[in-house]
Amino acid sequence: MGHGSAWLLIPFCVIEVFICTYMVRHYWFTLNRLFGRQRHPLIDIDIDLADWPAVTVLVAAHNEEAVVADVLEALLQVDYPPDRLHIVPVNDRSTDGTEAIIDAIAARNPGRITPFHRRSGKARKAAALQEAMENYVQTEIVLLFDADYIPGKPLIRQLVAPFFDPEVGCVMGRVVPMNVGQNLLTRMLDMERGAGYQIDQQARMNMRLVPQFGGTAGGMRKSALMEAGGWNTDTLTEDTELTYRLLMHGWKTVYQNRAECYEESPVRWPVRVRQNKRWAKGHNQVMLKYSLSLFRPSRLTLLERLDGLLLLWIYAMAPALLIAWMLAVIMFYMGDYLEGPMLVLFVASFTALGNFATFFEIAASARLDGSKRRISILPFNFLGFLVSMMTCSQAAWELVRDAVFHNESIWDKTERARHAEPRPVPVPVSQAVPQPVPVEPLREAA
Amino acid sequence: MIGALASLVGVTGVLLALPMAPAFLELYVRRDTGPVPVKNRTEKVADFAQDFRELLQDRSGAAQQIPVYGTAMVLDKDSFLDEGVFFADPIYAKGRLTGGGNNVFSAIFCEKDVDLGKNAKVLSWVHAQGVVIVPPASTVYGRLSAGEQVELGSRCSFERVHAPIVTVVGGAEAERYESETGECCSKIHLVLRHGSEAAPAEAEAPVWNPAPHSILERVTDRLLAEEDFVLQAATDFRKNVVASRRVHLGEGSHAIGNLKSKSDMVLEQNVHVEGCLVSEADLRIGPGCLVMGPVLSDGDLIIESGTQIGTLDHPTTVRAPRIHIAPGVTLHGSLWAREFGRVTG
Repeated sequence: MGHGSAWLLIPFCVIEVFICTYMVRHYWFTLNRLFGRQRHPLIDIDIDLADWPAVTVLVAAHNEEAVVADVLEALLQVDYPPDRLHIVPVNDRSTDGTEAIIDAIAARNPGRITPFHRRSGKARKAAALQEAMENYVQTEIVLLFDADYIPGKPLIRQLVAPFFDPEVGCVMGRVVPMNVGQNLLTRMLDMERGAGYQIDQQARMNMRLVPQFGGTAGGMRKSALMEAGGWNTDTLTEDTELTYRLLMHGWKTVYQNRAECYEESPVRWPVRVRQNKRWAKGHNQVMLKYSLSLFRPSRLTLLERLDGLLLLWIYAMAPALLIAWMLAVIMFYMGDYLEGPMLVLFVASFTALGNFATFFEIAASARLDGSKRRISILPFNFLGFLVSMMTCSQAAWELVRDAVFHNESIWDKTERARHAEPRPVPVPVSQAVPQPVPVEPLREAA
Repeated sequence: MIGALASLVGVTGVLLALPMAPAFLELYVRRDTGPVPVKNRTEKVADFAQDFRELLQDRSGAAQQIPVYGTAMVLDKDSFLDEGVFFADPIYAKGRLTGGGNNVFSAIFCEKDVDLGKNAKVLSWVHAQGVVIVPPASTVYGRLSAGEQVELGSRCSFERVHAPIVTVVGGAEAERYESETGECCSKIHLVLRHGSEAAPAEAEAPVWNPAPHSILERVTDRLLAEEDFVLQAATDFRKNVVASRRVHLGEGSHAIGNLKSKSDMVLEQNVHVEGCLVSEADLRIGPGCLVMGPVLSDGDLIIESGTQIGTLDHPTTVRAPRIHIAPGVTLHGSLWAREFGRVTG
């Protein structure tokens, strides 16, 4: 190999080491899910037989007229003592018919729903949730749902049960796409989602690593949130950020694979790209903020620190892989060849196995879900892989650019594809209910 | 020449496209496009048995053909079964069912009470609307549930038990059972149903009337113990605890809050815990304790005589891979041994 390009080989090998680490991680997680001992702590609590605490459910909604009624109706029907469940739709500066729909449903269910119509303040979901927490939540347990989610009947109990463990500060349920058959994108996303939850999250639970809170279909202790400093309104992924802050404060996040909740996947590529970019930018923000913190003295085990670090760096691997490909091409055209049997073995083993690790995960999750034929479309997921790699790389570049030019990151709301069924035109509460029951916000006692 | 080239291109194209054929086929034929099914009901043991009951609604007579289970034996009246018979089909009993001893059952649903008879084996599940008596040395694989009460005899094995009252009998009563006829079952059953002579406790069970609020709301402060957490005898403590190692509660101590240990947890005798116990290793609950909340262990769970877990008004869950439970224990709610559960003594 020529000396001129030795400086290319070093970053190339560093990236390869990271990529191989993730390859091993993918296989480790997948094999654990397929053959390892599964851990579902506290899901065994007989959901009929616990002394259930009062729970506040926050439903984050921003221009959600197409979907918000469905989530509220579903929450009103869950299998949880009605007098212990309080629903607070957080209507964050909506300009469509969301407010009227929420008010109409609240009026039909007096005492069960307290709408929070946020008309001003900082944009972003975290800011709205922070305000809701301060003014509308007086319970110790708080659950969160996005407006496009449809919780099933047992879900609330399944999400609350883990809090009997005093170490648990946060709980995350499994998100299941419901609009699978809409087009190729939704089918691919269904399989990707399956791998993320059915394999990654559950494997982390099995091995006592760091399951990730996803900001919806989950919940937290209010005391844990307050101890960790409340919601961070400056980040794009307040959920990932919260996972790490709770971890640093000695709280665990629990993933409940059997606590399943339907959601709506993006149906258009531009929507998916924007969503992925937002996740990547936010995740990388958290990576920069918390990577070093994981090495400070704390109660974390070595494996938790390692897994936490790998989780933080996952979105950074897309641009890293892209750079590695470019370096390989440049080195090839410069006439340089990789030398040494170990190096050849190193690259060859990655090429033979590493490229397929993520797809192995996806296939394994489809098998665990009992899906038989959808596995056939797995080759198309390579297309999704390429798109994700490009969007994540672009997001990483934009993050650097925003840091240099002090631009503020823009929060893109995911566009909904569900069409609201024709509903009766909502009427003002005063007309809908002759003698409306006053619904006061649950403000904390001074 | 051109034809050969076209053929080569065509064959090459087909060979390249062939691996993608199943993908394109599924994309256009759309055979598996539904969302992953989500459970919209609980896994309540009573529901499980109720499904079976609904299948048999309005049926009578023997050997009914029913979906899922194939055939079922339907018993219209109080029934006494012969000794040593293997019942391969599920039994639906409308009256009281009494096993003859050494019976093997596939599954049982009973509208009244069930006495399995000594040395019985249930292979799948058993549910009675009234009381289920599991005599000494019997084994119930799968689910065992009752609308009123389950009695577990000494040396019997179980996996998943669910009832408002679960009592564990043994000692003198067990011996009497083995030496007498089936009527003795009723005697035990009645005695326990009224609770006046409930299984002899080595230590007196404490009386405690909990407030009707969840412990999750009442105690939110938390202590992170870097080493062992030891609560001295006859001491009161009010906080949630997460111990990096062992948790040891001394005799007669009273803890209000949820307790978790990364290593073993031990409760000496007459300890009161108003909260949940979570152990990532073994958990031993000494005699005469009262625990108001879920009890969860990742190792062996030993419950000693005279202990009460939950109350009739506040039933709860006990779960561990391996459970060893002594005669004289009373539980309210669910008892779930993932690997095996055994009554000692």
